[in-house]
Amino acid sequence: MSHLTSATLDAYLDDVLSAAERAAVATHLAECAACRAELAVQAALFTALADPTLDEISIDLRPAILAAIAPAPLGRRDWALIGAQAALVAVLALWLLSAGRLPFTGVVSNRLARAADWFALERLLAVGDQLRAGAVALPETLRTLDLGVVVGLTPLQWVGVGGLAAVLWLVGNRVLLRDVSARMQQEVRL
Amino acid sequence: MDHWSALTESELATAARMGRTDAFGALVQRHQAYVFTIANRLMHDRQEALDLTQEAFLRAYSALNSFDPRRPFGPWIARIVTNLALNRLAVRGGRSVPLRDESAEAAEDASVGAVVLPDERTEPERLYLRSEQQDRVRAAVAALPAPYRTAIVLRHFQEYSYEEIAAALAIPLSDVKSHLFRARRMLRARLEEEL
Repeated sequence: MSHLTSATLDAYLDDVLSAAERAAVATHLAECAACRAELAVQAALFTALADPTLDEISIDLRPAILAAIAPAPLGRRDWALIGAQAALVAVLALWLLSAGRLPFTGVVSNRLARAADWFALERLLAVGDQLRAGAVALPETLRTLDLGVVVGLTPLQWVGVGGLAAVLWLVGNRVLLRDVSARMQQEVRL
Repeated sequence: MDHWSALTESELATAARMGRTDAFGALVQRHQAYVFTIANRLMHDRQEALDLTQEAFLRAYSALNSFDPRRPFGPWIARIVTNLALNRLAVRGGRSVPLRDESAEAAEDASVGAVVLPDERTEPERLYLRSEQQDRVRAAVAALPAPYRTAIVLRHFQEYSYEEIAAALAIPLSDVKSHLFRARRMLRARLEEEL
């Protein structure tokens, strides 16, 4: 009787034989003590190789990894970008709200009046009173203040300013996000 | 114990995707030993394994948006570190494989017919010997040529199928079989006394 080859025994232990091949090997093993012994030795090797014990890691990698992925504090250029974006948005918002271009002034006025009430409740009466007076007068103030006239731009030019603001906003955020992404991928030396 | 440790992996991955770096830290804590073990067994170099482990987690963080939090994190990060290690081995030129190993083939012939005797040692003694045996097995695996070692680690420790190994190493299925066969013969030759 010829013995099973090592390759066949490996395939048997790796469970990659077809059902028919597997059955044939099992039949042979039942009759052949030498092949059973060989299989036992090879199975012991497989068991030893599958050792699930984890290697001991000498240091905790968390601090280094967390330092690498932590968002870095904003730099001077970042703040300049954010300041320019905020200023443009503020100017545009004021232009839109002034001269009654948009009907939001009433809502803004109401919200500010409610904020004034909160200040009053917190016993910051002077601040509350001033805020309430300003809030109530806001719609009228904005109606009389036409930023478009003050700055001297035509509506078309204002649309241009709006477009510029949108571009600056998008490009600026892209730059900011790219910087954050680059910092996230930066490796930290161990 | 922080409150992250009470959360499931899925919850941690979701929180990490939303920018909670401390949640990602909890994932690192849970998996760093496993990831390091894979890298260490593939590279056989502790410092390089530490570097790869860190790099794997940083890459995983960058790619979190492509990770489905409903799936287990372990296999995903295992695959990342495995790919990193394989790339590094390839760059290092670890794909040069000796075509034949005479000593392994000789050992193969000699081992047919070996008999396994019952172990009558006491339990503590057996545990000690088992630990010692594990060290020897690891040393024997580490001493294999890189392609053989890689195939053995992927098959036995990470339980890759033949097809998965072929895909990971970009080699034909027949090469996977021959790598595993030769590696096992070499290990048998080195570990004859253990088995």
